[in-house]
Amino acid sequence: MNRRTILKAAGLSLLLPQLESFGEIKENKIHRMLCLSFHLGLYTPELYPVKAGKDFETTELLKPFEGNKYSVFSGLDNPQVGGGHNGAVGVLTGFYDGSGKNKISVDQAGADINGQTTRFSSLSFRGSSNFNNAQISWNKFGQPVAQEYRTDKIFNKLFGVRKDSKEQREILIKKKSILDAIYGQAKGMNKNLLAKDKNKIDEYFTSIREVEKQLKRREYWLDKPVKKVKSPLSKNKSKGVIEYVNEIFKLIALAYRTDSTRFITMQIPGSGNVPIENNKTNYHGLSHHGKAPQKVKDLVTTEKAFLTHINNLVNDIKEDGQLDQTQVLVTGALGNASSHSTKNLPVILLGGGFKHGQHYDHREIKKPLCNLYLSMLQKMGYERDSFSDSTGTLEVI
Amino acid sequence: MKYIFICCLFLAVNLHADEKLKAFFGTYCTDCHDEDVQKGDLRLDQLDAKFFKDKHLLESLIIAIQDGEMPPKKKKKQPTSSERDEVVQYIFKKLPKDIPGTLNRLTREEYINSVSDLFEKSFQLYNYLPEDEISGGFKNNGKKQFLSSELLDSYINAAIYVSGKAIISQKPKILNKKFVGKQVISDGIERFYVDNKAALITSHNLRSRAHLKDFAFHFDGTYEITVDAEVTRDEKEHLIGVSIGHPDFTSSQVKMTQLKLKQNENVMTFSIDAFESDQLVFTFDSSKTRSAKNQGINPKNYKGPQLLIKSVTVKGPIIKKWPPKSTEIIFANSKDVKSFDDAPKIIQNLANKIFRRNVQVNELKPTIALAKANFDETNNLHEAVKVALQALLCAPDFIFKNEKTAELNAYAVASRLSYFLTKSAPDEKLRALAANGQILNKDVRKKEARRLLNSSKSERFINNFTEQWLRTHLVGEMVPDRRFFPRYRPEMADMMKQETHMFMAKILKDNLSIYNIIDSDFTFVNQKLASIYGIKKVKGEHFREVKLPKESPRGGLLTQASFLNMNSTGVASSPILRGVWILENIYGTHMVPPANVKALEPDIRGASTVTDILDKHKSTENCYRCHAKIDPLGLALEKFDPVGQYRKTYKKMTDPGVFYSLNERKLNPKLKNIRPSFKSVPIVDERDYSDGRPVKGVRGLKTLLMDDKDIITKAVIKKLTEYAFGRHVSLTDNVLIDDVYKDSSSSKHGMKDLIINMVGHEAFLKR
Repeated sequence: MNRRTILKAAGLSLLLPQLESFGEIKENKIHRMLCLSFHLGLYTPELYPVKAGKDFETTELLKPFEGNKYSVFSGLDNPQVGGGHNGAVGVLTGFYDGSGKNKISVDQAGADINGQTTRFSSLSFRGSSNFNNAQISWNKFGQPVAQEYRTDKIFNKLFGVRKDSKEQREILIKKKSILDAIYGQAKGMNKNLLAKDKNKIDEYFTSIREVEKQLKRREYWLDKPVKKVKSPLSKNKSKGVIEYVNEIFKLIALAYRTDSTRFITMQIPGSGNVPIENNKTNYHGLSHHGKAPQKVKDLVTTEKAFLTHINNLVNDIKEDGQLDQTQVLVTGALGNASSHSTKNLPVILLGGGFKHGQHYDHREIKKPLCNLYLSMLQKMGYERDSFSDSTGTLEVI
Repeated sequence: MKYIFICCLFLAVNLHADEKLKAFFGTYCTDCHDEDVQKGDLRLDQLDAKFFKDKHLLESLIIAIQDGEMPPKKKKKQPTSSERDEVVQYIFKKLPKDIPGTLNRLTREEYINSVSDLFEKSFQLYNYLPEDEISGGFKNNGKKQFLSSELLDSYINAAIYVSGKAIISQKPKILNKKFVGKQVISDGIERFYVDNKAALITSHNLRSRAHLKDFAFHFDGTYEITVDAEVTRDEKEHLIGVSIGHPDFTSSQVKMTQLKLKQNENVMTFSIDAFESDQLVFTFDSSKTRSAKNQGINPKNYKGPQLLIKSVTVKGPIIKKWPPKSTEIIFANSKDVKSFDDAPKIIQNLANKIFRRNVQVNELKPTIALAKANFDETNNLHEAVKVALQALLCAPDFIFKNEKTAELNAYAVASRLSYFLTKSAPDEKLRALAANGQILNKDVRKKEARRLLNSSKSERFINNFTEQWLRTHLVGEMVPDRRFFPRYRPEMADMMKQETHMFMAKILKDNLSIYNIIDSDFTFVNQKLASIYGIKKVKGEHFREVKLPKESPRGGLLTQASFLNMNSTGVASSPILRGVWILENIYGTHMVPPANVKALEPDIRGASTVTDILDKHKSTENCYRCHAKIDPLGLALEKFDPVGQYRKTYKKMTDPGVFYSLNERKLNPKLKNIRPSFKSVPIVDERDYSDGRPVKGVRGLKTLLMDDKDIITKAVIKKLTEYAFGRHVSLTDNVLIDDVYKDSSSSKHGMKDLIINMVGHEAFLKR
């Protein structure tokens, strides 16, 4: 019996039928996702291998991942996203129209189907405070998902003492009683409807039940004590951007380890200082290298530092035996930061139960990045056959 | 035996008529539309039950045969006009007669207006309710609307928010706080302080702005703000922008006012309305630069004028009346907060307004029970009514419109009229006319339509209708490339939109002929827009009506920058987009985009001309069926560029690669002196329309459209009906459209007359 029939059969006297207790939901397969996007992209001439297929050569920017299996993609981008730095907001949605709205991003689409059993269905971060176009995570209404950058706040959200739980509980109780009342109210409306309008009211009843399920879930987690972990944050306050981002990576590893959430997204900022041979240099300045060899070299060094930290994070996930369940996407908003080009984005995929080990070259026959997003989502039970501007799936082994 | 005979006879007659149709198709159509060929995925050799159920298909057949579009002109075998008429009449009779439309829910706009009007208070609801889809048709078309758990959850959150803001029991704390020195935070990329004072140098919000430390408004209401500031290094008068919203998100900020800061006059006091949790944001609007950094200057070394904010004082909320109006509306006749006696009556009164009909108390049992349970706990009537109000605002009777039956009842008619012309729930007058049934009377309805159109709420109608009909929300989405169109600024998108909205508002208000959309002798401009149009002597930001001289190519919708811009790419005008837009929105044609066809790629080097590319449409019949109409309409406007300027030639970039950013040029001395260069390419704006009529330039286009003004007027009536009824309007609605057309001919189809006659028509009483 599907949900709708259950509801129809239930009748008003029952009000809402009893639901299965939340923690007891059986999960067939666990799916997780980690999306990391470089605001400035990566220097693709040092990332994209020349040869396609299995026998591709390891490039400078792929070296940090040695020891892990990965797939590297060249030539993918978001055809509907332009606008230089501003287009960064559309890197995970394949969409950008200059307004404050967007379409659902790949992480949120995944969380909608697979993020419902953990304390947080998803978490989204940005790697710095003063960060324009930081927003890359968008919900299904096209509204921005809050992206925290303060490491202490992130830690408290995950593992801190819950002060507001009483207030939270009151809201949950209030919402449940509203549901009861509108269920009764809706029963009355159902009587005199035209046959063709009944499905609209069915949608309404289904939604009532779905909301109740979500409330139950939140109530369930309200009762569960948070796991006790030691803070990995360092006391040292002045950090360069690489160090700061790495602190968030450590929190991400903890969030996965404690199964607090299964969907995490973060944009790595394009501002701040990076150390080059004991001197501080501006990261954004390096990206506008104008092909000056020294600048390119320093940029690649910087990007390698980030990627090494990412690989450490991947190793942490692997250590916990979660890597096969976790799709790790490393991408960027720009294909060439020096000219603000949003074509040919950097794309690396690790984990997630793929075999990996290939270079997929799409430079000749262009494909939207959303084709890869669709393949990633379908691997985790997404039932639709398109995502944003996808034109099909990408074969990933 | 007799029974069988009758049956047979009936069958025979039916068969006879179907045979005629079959014969018609067999003679004229099945060459291309049978099992083997199936042009346009259409087969006309199988007239089964499925065929006659497909309303959409039958309608498109009627249109194609009626307009002589099919069979194609080049076919020698053509039906006579009486043959065409007969077949059209026959298919028309066969159209399925189901009840049109579906149960519509309120759009976001309708929800917000309904509660705001009901409680005479504005609510900050844009963060609670998702935006409605606008893909094809109008937002209120129930077929496109969905309901999901997320949406229901949004409704619950919105209801909790609204009830909390509408029912206020405690007086707020009155704030009087002065923020001095670094308590006024300098913010943005180019932020710094001068003598501990926030210093703003650019007009760009992301680069220079200021907000107050740890401050957000704590209560919805009016506040008095005093700013002490000065602009150094300049003698002139300056403008300071004041917005409310979140300082980090420009999209959340709403500009409340612009202060004029005169030399030697530093202290300014003003009042603004703010919502709880909003913050105050100050900007230097009249700054001479949008970015110092982009000019290669360290902001601190910038020599131009700088705005220094010494202090900001916030006082409020200013309370003139207690309890607030919204609370008074709900509890008007009840004084005792400690008694539940009045609750059923209060809740019923609320339900009457929220459900837009008179509700029986016993219908409200679940809601009253909810309130009672709360009262037993809190012993507070306000709290109890609050939860009842939450339930009412989430109930399907509020969220869904009242049109539940084929014949509408008086409440549903009042509701339809009200949402049509005010985008809101019926007001007291309409509710009374619904309760006594008078709204079903034609003359009462027309009178009410006039009343609503004359009220200020009708602005919501003209803005919403114009935006969704003409899709003005798309203006500025394709940002014109500054290399080609240096005059364009992002803020002009709103101005372009405003012109079109003011234009339509005037046509409505003065009951002008709808022909004005084809050509008019007036439009609305401000200085910036006038400079795009080459209209002289228009000074200042404010919009005004201007009379267009006879020799001007401007006038009507199609020479307005909004239309010209939204149907262009960033670098080139698109005759295809423009042609399609005219067919869809002015002619009301249903266009189906071709599948898997690569769109016209903008070619900024001018290697191939636009006409070369369009000529390719001629080579395939499948393309040409639509493009024989699309291309001549769009091509006629090629002398208008993507930002709406009149041009004599195309401007093509000879080498687009030579344009580098300032940063890149700074880094590479070799690039320093390279600039993009352009060449002129002649424009062809002449081509024959599908039926052979010549279309030459904008004047030729207007002549063609004036020729077709009957079709165009009816298309506008159709759009108005779709908007009013919240559903697709089909050929079975032609009676309504023809009647409204006839009834408004005395004013050459004045827009007000179109609306009033539609409201008065008996079809307005049906779903």
